[in-house]
Amino acid sequence: MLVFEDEIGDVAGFTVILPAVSVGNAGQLCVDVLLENIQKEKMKTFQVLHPSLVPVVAPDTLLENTSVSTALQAYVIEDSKLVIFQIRSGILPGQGSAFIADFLKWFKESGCAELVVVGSMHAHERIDKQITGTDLRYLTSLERKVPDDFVKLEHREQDLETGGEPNIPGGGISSRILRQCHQQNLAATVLIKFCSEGDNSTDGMVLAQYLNLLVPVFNKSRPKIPKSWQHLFGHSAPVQMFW
Amino acid sequence: MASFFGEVLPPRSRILDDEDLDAMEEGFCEEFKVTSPPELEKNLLIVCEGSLPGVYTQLCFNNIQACGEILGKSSDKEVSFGKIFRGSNWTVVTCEHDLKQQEFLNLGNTILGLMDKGCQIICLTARHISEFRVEEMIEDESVVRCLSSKSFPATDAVKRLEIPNLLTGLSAAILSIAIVKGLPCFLLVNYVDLFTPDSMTLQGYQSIFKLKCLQESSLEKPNVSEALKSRQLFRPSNNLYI
Repeated sequence: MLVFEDEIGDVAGFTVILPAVSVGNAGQLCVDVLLENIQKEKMKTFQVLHPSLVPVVAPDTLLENTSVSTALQAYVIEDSKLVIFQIRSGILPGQGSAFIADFLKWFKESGCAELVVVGSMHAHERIDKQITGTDLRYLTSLERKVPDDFVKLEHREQDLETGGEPNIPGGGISSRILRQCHQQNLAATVLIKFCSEGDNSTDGMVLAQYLNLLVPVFNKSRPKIPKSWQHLFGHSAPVQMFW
Repeated sequence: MASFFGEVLPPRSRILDDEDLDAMEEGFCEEFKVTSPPELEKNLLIVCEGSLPGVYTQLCFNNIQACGEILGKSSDKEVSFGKIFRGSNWTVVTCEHDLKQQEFLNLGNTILGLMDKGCQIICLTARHISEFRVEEMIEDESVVRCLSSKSFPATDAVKRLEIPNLLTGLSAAILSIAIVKGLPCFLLVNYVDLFTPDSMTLQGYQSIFKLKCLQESSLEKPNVSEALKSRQLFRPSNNLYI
């Protein structure tokens, strides 16, 4: 079960945003952008423990004091009726179902209104018509109004054969959590970007702006780059080695 | 890694895929048990992750033998994961066993079961210096950093770990549990060039004696060089940094 550091308060009717640990970590980078661009005074932070996540600790990138971030954090923004989760590590192999079950149990018991999962999908798994045009797609568990320029994720041949929801290769828990929400009649939307691994900071930015169109989170047209993205790929090479 | 020239390798991903069956580690322990006496530690619990902090803490107490072990079941065999040492007002748990990711939290919970309310926790660990990310590297300084839970008394004894560094492992698991449960926990990470215990690599741990809870305990701050020599704990003998 999800163990919160403190009582999270009444979040009935709130929208919950959860990143999927997926290709390029785009979902997690997207949440970094969201958190960097929300006013800190409006956020309450809670550390959350779940046995399905690889434990990590790090200095908190959002608060200037001595706070520590753990593998899973929840940020509650009461003004905007949002609960934003951030996963800073990954889900242990074979533990995805346990995490989804516990997460949705918390979601239902809290009375939250909608779940928005942000993630990514392998760009090399695109079908022909996905190669041109926008890299962004969405899926919903129940009927939901979306902006006109949002494109629904197309079925692939393999999905049609199995008769199920579109598969999301490289999407982590995205398709499974959507399927569970559909079965349990919970409102969920999955936002996906096609990407490949590399420097995915742009993918995170684009996904954050895409999510902002669906669920207004921040007011800036040019979101700030998160501080936690410094040295993403380590130090620059020491000049001494070229002497 | 390719095993022959021309081998085509599948693409490696930096993300953890929870559906990747190859990534599922076999033979990990789900349950641990402790063989030490049942009294709970009321003052100070020190957890040493890895060989370096384990060697260091043994220099801090003289000739005390392990009073217990932490055992886990792996493939129907009981494996020793750590040793427990007890003093009048402290308990030290050393864990040199290579742990699997699935074991961190379970082992962390088992170790925290040794303590009573009011006990302070100190976790000691080591990482290779290449893992340390900072704006500007000051080479002469031994790199020792810390993180602590809110309920641990505030201290400036050790510099706080800078953004964007992060830690995983047993120490991270214990600190995570402590944060969520409101327990006082201090984690010290010593960034070293080598994992061989010598006076250079162990020097970073001396900082823990700036903490009030260590000063009030019966553990003694060692002279690392002398203690290593007398216990002949360094190998090989051609190591300059005794």
